[in-house]
Amino acid sequence: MPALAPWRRGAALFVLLAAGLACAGAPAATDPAGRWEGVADIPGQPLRLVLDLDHDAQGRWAGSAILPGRGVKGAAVDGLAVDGCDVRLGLAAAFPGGDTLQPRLVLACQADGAFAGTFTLGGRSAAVSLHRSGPAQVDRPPAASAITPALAGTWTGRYDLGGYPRAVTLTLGNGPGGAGGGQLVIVGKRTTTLQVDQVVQGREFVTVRASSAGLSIEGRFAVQEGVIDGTVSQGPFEAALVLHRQPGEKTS
Amino acid sequence: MNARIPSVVLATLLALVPTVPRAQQMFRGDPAHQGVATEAAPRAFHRVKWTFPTGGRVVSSAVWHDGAVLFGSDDGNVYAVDAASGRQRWMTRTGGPVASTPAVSGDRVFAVSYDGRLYALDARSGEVLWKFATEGERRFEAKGLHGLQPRNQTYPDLYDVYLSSPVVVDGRVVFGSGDGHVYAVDAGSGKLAWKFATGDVVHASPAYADGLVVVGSWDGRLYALDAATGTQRWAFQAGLDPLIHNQQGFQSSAAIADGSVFVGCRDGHLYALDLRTGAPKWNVDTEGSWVNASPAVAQGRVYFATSDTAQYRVVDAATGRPAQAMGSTQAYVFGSPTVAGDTVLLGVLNGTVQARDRADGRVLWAFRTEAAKADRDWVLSAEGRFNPGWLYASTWGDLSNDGTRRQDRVGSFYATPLVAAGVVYIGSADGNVYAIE
Repeated sequence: MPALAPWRRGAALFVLLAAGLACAGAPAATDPAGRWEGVADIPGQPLRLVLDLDHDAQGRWAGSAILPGRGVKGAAVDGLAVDGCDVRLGLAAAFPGGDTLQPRLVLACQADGAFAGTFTLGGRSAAVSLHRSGPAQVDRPPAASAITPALAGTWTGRYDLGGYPRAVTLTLGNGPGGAGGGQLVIVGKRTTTLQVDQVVQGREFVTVRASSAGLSIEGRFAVQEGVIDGTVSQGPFEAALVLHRQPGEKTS
Repeated sequence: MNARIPSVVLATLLALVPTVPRAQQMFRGDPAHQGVATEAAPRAFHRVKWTFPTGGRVVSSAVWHDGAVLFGSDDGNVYAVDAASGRQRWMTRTGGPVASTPAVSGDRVFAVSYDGRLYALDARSGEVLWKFATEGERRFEAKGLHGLQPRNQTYPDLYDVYLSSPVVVDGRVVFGSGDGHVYAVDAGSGKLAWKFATGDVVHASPAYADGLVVVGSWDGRLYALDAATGTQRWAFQAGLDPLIHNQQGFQSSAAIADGSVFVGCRDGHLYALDLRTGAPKWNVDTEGSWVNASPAVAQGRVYFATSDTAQYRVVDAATGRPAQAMGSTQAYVFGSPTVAGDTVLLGVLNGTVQARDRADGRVLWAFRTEAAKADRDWVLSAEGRFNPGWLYASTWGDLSNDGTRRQDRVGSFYATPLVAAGVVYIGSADGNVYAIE
């Protein structure tokens, strides 16, 4: 094949450049809603990511993440911000110690409809690319429930963790929005007061979470006996805990 | 003519006479384990004088003998390396990782191997003189250790990195074993003098003073034994953690000074006890953070560091009250501080050796391994802290294997620095022993 004349080579280059600029300047309109799969290119340890983004019932953006091979399914994303096809979000729930390591994804849509951007963790950053693999399947955290009178009130108990006894006082009630909440006071070598930010009450089983400390209490409750019989857990630590209704309170 | 030699000339002549370092010859420098070097450490980092590679992690601390540094390696060997040139003088193979610090006494070197044997070697040639077999080594282990699942599974503790480092007292080699015993063996013949049974693994190094051997066990007790007979004089019970066994056990070796015993514990305390009676004097609560490092004691102050909370602390030996502001080591500390003149040296698991001013604790210099600088797979955060969110999957199920091993890739310093003739010698989990000046 003969070589192009110099002016023709220049014209061809101009056409190619113009086409390239047109692609770069006008990326395809990507709707962030969907399931996105890809890899964060961490040297020697590529991190597989599955990200689900969608609107919730109120029309707000919501999302969750799966980290295949790391035991993480449906971790809620935090600080989700969507601006056109730019997406920023945190993944603290997907990594132990995530609140201090601040894992984050910053993504921008590309001309080919994919997402590209940066994954950061503990001040380190790596390139990430995600492609759409289907419709979103956001895992929603269990909805907080209103507390029935049977559960509202003050509960006390003791547990042993790390070789030291701790006394627990759990006070539950419904907040202004109607959802259950309360306060958890743990007295060991020192006194720790935590806000209960989620209560999920089933027919016979209740889960109480204080997410600021990653602590949860769960157990079967027996209204007549005035007992919640279960466990307290924080990270890998789990201990048996039996809570009794504060003496003098009605069991309704 | 005045026959007296001018002092300036005398000083010059003395300076020309080669000094013979009297550096540490056993773990923590002396039988009392005070962790005080006989020589001052450099106040500034100049260079790495030499690097000596071995085939495994080096958690053993180097000791000094006749111009050589002696140490063990997890590759199974005991080494003698010429301190001036960094060239190997001899190497002796054992049947397992040598995760203990050798002890030199006279012309003999004693080292403990994971093959369950105490070795007596000729200090000049490395020739094996005798071996003493215990009932066998093992790591500390427990069901549901550290909260691992399934809870009824027994897991070995990968943080139990050291073997007991022997101490030589009155012609006997005293050391602990994974078989739960403390042994005293005749240094000349290798014959058993006495043994004492504790309730679990003994990987701390026995300290000795005033006729007493003091050593902690993973059963959560610190024992004082009669050095002559092995009879128990007293025992101090520290915290226990029957649920996940995370907050119990003595990995730290005791230091003895001025009638007091100072020792760290995995129950999250540094304890001070009376040497004669074992009565508690005071304790420092580290809020659940292990104190695996053995404390150093010098001139009324106790120097120690913590694991998870990465604290460098100096407290008054009489009261336990802070003697200076707490410092951050950035990452876990297992290695023990060495007080060397007006400097305190400390190895950190993030692949850093820190030199701190003894008076105020400020960092004078820090040496980082090349592996720590490169940190190719994000073992560390940008600040040099461990990156647990990346090292461990959130199930906690892999705490026992991959994540823990990956930490070591940055060249963790489990060992304790040796100082001789202005040079710092220390081994790393990257397999190297570094001579730093």
